[in-house]
Amino acid sequence: MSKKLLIVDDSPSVRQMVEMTLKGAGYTVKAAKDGQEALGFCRTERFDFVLTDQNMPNMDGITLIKSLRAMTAYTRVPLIVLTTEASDAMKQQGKAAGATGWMVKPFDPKKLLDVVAKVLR
Amino acid sequence: MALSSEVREHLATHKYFDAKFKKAGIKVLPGEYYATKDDLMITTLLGSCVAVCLYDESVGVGGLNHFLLPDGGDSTDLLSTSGRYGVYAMELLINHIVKLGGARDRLRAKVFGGGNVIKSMTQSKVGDQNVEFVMGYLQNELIPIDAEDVLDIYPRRVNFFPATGRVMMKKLMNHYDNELIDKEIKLRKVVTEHRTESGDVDLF
Repeated sequence: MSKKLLIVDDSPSVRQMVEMTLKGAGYTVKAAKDGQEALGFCRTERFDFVLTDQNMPNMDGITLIKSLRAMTAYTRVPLIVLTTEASDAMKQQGKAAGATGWMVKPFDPKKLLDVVAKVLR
Repeated sequence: MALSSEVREHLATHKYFDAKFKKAGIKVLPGEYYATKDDLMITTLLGSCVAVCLYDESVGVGGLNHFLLPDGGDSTDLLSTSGRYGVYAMELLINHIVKLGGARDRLRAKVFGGGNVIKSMTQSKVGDQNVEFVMGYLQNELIPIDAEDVLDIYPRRVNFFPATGRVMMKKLMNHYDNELIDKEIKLRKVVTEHRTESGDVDLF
């Protein structure tokens, strides 16, 4: 069965780009528009991987990651941040919250597929 | 490879006092952007580049960018090299406005530029490509466009008042600005050379 991935971004353009890339590689993809919606999905469904933006209304990426790490079902699931935020301070905050990795935009489809393949192994 | 500093959109730093408008101003150069909640005027001079003015009037926050797309694929295809670069340029501005208190779902836009001012570039329709991308992007993001003045062959001076969203734009009919055109040609060359670069990846 194909792996189930959740992508979280407030930009419809970014959601489309990421969704097309992952679906094209054979993954099953669901999309959420902010951290709050993503958290709701994760409470009722099990995902193998979550890719989230950082700056979003209602709930940002780091808060989403903290909330997910507090759930027993998500202690080991890879949680990757995809953001325009490139500072080391932000990366450290992400790491401390429990993120598996930090990818800086501009979005590169090939790099994302490499990372997904690596962390899902 | 990580995105080189010369192609990353930078926050404009050139402050000045505008004698005509009797107001503190910020000059945004090609490849730069600026956003503020202060009562400033943001000004930029456009050739084939585009500038998107974005503002949330209810909180008086707004900003403007000044960019062009690299040569590379169909700019209306988000996953093409030029499409991905454009999405990134727009996101930097939007994120900055949101950090200053603007709400994404209240943003409105005014779009300028994309004049095919460079004679050698007229054939390749560089201006058209930049405009097509911006219009498609804003539609996709559900950001309404309140005003636009795009394409044609003239440079444009844009004076943007972010607190209210007001724009005063002038088409420079008798103006052939070699310095502006040189800057744009250089910018396009640089972003095209670096178009395959993307951001860093850290696995913790």
